[in-house]
Amino acid sequence: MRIDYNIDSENEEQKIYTFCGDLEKELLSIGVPIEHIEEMKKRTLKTFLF
Amino acid sequence: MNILCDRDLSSFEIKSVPVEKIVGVRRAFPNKSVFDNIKQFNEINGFDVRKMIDCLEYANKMQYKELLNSYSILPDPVDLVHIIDTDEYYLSDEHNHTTMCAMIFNAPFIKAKVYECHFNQKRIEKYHRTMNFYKEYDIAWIEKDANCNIKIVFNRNDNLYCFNYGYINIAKCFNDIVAEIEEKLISYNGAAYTYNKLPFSFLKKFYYWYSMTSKQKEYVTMPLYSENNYFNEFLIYLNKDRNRRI
Repeated sequence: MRIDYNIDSENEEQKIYTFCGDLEKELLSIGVPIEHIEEMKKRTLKTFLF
Repeated sequence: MNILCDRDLSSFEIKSVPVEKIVGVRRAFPNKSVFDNIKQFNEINGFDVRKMIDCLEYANKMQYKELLNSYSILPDPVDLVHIIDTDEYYLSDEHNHTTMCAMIFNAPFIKAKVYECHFNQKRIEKYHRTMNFYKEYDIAWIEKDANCNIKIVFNRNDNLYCFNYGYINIAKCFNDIVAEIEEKLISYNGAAYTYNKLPFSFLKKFYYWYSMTSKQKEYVTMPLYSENNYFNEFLIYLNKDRNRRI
């Protein structure tokens, strides 16, 4: 799995980190099932607030 | 003390929890998917790129099955709150990166300190009122840092506006006039109407914020944290004040 992130260097105040390459492809390469990846694309997260 | 439930910090049990039952973490952007939160993030939400890389790199250090099993024998268990009413788990403290990676890798279980608790209906109602307020004023979230600076982040399309008390950072908006606006808004003196290039909705937000007294600003930022009734009072204030000219 090739892992790195690009930085949106134009915005110093709020740097956006974007996965280099194709995250789905990299996950598949280590054995994550495609069905699970599809589920993770749909599954939204809630937040737990204190 | 948290918003959705009452947790007894002294009472927890260490056990393996099915990862599929974890529905929320603390650092992710809500309403974005697990996949999208890992694919692209902003450190403003608490994610750290170095930690994220470290966690993902375990995939290169061990076989896939070994990787999945490693989450059930973590040396430092993650902190999870188990909402008994819904049988859902929320990450309540640290280990956001570890938990997100367990989710994306499809780990079956994760070792956790589990705090059992029930929803607090009163706080849930307050939470929903707050969320409605956020929606009405197009606010993404409000947070306080360690120095008690208040940061209000507004949604506007894909742009974020971050208010830090007396100044404003404008990100990714109105490319041709960003510098000018930023400079002038920092020295804002009540003449916001002169910036007629800004959309009305934005000016309205800005106007409200600067027309508030310190106490009223507290009303905006307190509802998530307070047991008092300031929030309703603040809504009444805003409703009365809505027709004022800007």
